[in-house]
Amino acid sequence: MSYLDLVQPTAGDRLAVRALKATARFLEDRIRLVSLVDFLASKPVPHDLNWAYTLGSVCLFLLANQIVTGVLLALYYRPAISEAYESVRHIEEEVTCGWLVRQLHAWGANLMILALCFHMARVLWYGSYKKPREINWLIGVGLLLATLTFGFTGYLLPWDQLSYWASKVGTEIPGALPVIGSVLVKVMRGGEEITGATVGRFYTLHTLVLPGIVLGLVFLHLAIMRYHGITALPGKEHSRKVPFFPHHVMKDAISIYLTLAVLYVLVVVSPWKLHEKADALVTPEGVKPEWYFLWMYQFIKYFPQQIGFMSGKVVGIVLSSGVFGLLALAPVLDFGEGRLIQQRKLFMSLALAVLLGVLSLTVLGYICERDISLLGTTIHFDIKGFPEKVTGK
Amino acid sequence: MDDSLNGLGSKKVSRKDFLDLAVAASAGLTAVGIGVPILTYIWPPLEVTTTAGQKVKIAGLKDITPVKAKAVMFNNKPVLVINTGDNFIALAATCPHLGCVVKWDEPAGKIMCPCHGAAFDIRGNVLGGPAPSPLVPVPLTKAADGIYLG
Repeated sequence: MSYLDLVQPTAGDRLAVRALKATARFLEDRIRLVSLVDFLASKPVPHDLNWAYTLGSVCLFLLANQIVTGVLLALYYRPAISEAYESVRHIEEEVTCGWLVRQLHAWGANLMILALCFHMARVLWYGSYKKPREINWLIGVGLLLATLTFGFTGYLLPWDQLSYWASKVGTEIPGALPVIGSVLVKVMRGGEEITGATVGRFYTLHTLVLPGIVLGLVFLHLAIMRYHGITALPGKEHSRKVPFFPHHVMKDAISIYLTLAVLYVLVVVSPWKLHEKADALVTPEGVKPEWYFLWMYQFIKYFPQQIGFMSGKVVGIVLSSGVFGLLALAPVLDFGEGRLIQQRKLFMSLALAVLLGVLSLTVLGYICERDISLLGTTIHFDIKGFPEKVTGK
Repeated sequence: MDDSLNGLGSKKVSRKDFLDLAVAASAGLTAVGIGVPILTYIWPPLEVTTTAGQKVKIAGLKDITPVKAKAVMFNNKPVLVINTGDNFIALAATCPHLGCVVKWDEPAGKIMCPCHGAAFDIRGNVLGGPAPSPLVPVPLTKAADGIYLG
């Protein structure tokens, strides 16, 4: 089926349909729009793709959610420390549906990072980044980094206690790097401390720079994906092909609607609280970064003050950043041609070890400096996540 | 029964027609579900004017001398208060032509719009220029301690 056939009017068409088809033909004659849609929709995809192959579309949907809700928030948000907190409060409490828009943005951001991780895990598991798709994998790693930066810069904007102190700690960390450390912190903060200048910088990055970068990368990512075609399941490279529309689109739509349902449930059941306004003189207890940075934050804690001639913190920062390096280098490290797991035992063991490490550090980062109660026993975990004091009934 | 209704009732709905309708209905519902909150969000929240429905003192009795005027903001809108010599007049200072704020031209004894030259007499009636209607009067009360609007 071609879309060009659909734009030919038939005798049975009603006036509205004829008008639609005439418009489509007008656009086709001038900018070949229908041919483009046809080209995109008729993309042949293997018929046996599973649900994990819809994660890319879920990421795209969540990106759209961030753009729409972000633009709406920008209508009322004011990026100055004298007004930022009050404007967020105004959105939450006075603007119609303001709470909904803000919660969709906050929860959407978290789900987007989660969906990106699952999408990349799928690509990693099936070895989909192998030749000729190495460059598209690199673009994907770039998108992950840009999305994490989105999360980091957006976190400060409500200007409440949690956002202020998390940003303070977060921007402090690169300060340990030799030579460039202090310069980096100063450039990020727009001064020595987190002030209105920092809010201005983070807001500009968050709303002007990063959206441009991400949209550009997403366009490239999709164009290259359309050029190469979706990878088949490993070992099933010759399976029958079906057009992208409606076969895979239907599956994508179901995943997107499920994501929307999860998003709404989270928004209603567990809304993000706006804490007290930022106070540079009062540090709240147990300041921690967002869950997606917890593993790095926890990892750095296990290094001693000094390792040889280097500061332990620097070694920690360099090693934890190495995880992104490993991710970027996956197509090089996993150099064999085979995509089946049994053909990539060594690489997949390494990948699983790194993944387990990141997950364990995330859990340790979550439980540290907390009292966890389980079955009547309360355990206090120290700064490194070790159980310290046990009190029972 | 009406023939056309009869025809509709007996028409066989194919699986494809049903699916098309279901997809279109889902898409429509989604669009409404997303569109309605966005439209209500964009609509500006009610402006809080602390003085709505209240009388506000804008000047003392001797603050505006005869044939002089004072421009004040009242409920977020500019108002021109003129001492005509025997009384006080308050007029909405927004020109009915394109919304510029009019000024009292004391030597000429007219109210003038600086944008496109609309001219009004001391009571706000159009004397010339492009203004399609007179300036709207604003309720004014002269009390013992001053002039009140509202």
